[in-house]
Amino acid sequence: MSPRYRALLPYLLVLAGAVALTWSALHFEFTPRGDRPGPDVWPRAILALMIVTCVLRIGTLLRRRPVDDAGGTEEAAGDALAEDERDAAPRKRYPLLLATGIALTAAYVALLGTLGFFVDTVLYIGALIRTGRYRRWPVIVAVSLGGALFFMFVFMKVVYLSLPIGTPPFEAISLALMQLMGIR
Amino acid sequence: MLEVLHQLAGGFLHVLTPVNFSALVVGLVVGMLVAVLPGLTLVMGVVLALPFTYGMSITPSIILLTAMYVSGTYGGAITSILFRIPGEPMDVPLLWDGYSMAHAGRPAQALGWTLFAALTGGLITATIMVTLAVPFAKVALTFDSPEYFAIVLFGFTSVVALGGGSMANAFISLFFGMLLSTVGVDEIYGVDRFTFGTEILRDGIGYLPVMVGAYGLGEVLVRLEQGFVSPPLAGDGRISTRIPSLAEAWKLRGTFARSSLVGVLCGIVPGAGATIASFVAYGVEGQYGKRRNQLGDGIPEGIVAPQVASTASVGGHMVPLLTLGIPGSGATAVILGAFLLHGVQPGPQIFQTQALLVYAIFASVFLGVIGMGLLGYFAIRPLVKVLYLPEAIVSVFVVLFCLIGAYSEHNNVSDLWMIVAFGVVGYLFERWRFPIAPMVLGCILGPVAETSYLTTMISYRNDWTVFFTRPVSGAVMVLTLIALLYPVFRGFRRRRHAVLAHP
Repeated sequence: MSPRYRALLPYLLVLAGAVALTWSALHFEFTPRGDRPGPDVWPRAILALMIVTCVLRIGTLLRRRPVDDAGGTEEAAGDALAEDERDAAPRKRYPLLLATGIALTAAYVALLGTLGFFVDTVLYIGALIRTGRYRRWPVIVAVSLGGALFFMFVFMKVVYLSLPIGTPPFEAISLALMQLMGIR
Repeated sequence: MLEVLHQLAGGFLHVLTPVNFSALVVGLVVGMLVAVLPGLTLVMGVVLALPFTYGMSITPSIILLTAMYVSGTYGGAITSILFRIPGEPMDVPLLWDGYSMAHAGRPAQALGWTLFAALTGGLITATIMVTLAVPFAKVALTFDSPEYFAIVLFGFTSVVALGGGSMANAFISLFFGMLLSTVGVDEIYGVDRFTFGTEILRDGIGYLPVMVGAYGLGEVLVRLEQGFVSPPLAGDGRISTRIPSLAEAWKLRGTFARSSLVGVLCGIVPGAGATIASFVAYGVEGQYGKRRNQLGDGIPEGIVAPQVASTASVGGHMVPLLTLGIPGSGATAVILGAFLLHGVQPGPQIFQTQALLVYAIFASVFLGVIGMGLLGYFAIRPLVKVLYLPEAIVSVFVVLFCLIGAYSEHNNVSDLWMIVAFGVVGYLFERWRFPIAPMVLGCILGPVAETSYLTTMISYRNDWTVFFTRPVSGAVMVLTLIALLYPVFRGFRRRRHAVLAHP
């Protein structure tokens, strides 16, 4: 995909979402009360502004010469921070690490009720540190176990938070640890 | 004035109680640690601390977060000067003279000037904050819904206009946040808005998952995609601080005065936070400083100007937050969130209903600035040691704090899904250069804007001209227009200069 179309992508997505939500806002079911503004007025106003902003931005990007596309956003030209960033060499990206990180976090949330907080957290810490390209296994194991115990102690014993204990057989591990820490 | 001093004395006594004082100390230490670590931003740190305040009463909660905010404006300076790693965007100007001075073999002097500047800027801003807050609150008591709508609109606009980068992106971020605040059952009509028949959306989208997900998880995902690459560090054997003498500092009185003014003004205007203050103060020094030609060569003025301004912006931010309930930055948005979580709405009435709390916050800023100075002087070596922790390990703990923090609000796993969703949104925002702060502000202040707009429309029979015909709201609307037009004018002038330079 050319840089120009890649730059357009977020605005096209936002525009499509805004149009779909406007359609939804036009179909709110309510009974009008005199000349009072309805519950759809405010969201529709926001969505209209959003659509106008996107259209203007898309128009600007389409009108821009190709040389500008390679140079980044014109608004950032005077921004000292952006200039500082532009001086730096472009950073290498690892999309697979990102996808793994998101998948691990989603799996952590999905399995929390089944594995219980302790087991799930041990596995999550270990897996995410390893995904972050840290390779010293003894440290990973120690941090995973120590971290999960630390969080369990702080949030269940000190903050009195009821964290998920899981379903059998993982429930037994959580209950045993809670007994050891004196958590009721 | 005597009444204010009397109340402030009460505030000092209140802060010195064991619980409040412990919150202050913990806030200072954690704020500095967060600012030192390049992967953790100050706002993210304040967000992560928020869940710990659920079980606390409101005074220590706000003191903890405010102390983090104060010390966070200084901690990043240490790594900027010593290792050329800005802990926060506001510390970037310190690279130019601070790192140059350290590189020239005078790191202790560079650290000393920064510490002295942060201390001075902090004390000046605390004094101005106490002086301005009560008159501000008295004026704010006369405000009606049109004024509130105009002020919120001005806050939104200036956050967008002064935030740097693309205005279109900032506006889209703001509208997205405002839209999020409309999801759920409408309070007046009881109508479902954008719920699509799902139970999880009927309760609405709280600002906490938005903040925690976008700032915390989103930032970690961005860094994970880059492979958690922290730059290698040199040894820390040279680290010590040499505070400048009063005679040395007196020679820079003009720089201190100019930068304090810039910092406080940037603080009061919503959106122009510590980063803008830091850059503007450096720019002002470059235009009006006695040694402007030597700026960038490692002179004290180049260290003092950005540091004084960034710390001075804190007190400026607290004035509109406490008197109008309008946060002007990401960190103050989180502090507002803490107020709301404890059932307290900041605004002019708070000076009557919760005077002790307000003055305890003021006192905590004074004590926090002094504590920050002491901590910066005596604890610099252990603080810098955290930089040697592997980024992958620190990041995992950040994510877990985000997740457990969000879970602890309602003991509900669906909040965790919100965090994951907004983590991905935060990542996409960073990737596509959409600023996150406008979204968070839109999410928090969206309901205030909607309510004040609808109330005005009902009270004034749908007459929208009332926003312009009432003196205060009219004046604020004019300021809003100026804030909107200023970047357009700036862009036009820049393009004209570019054409003249390269015809």
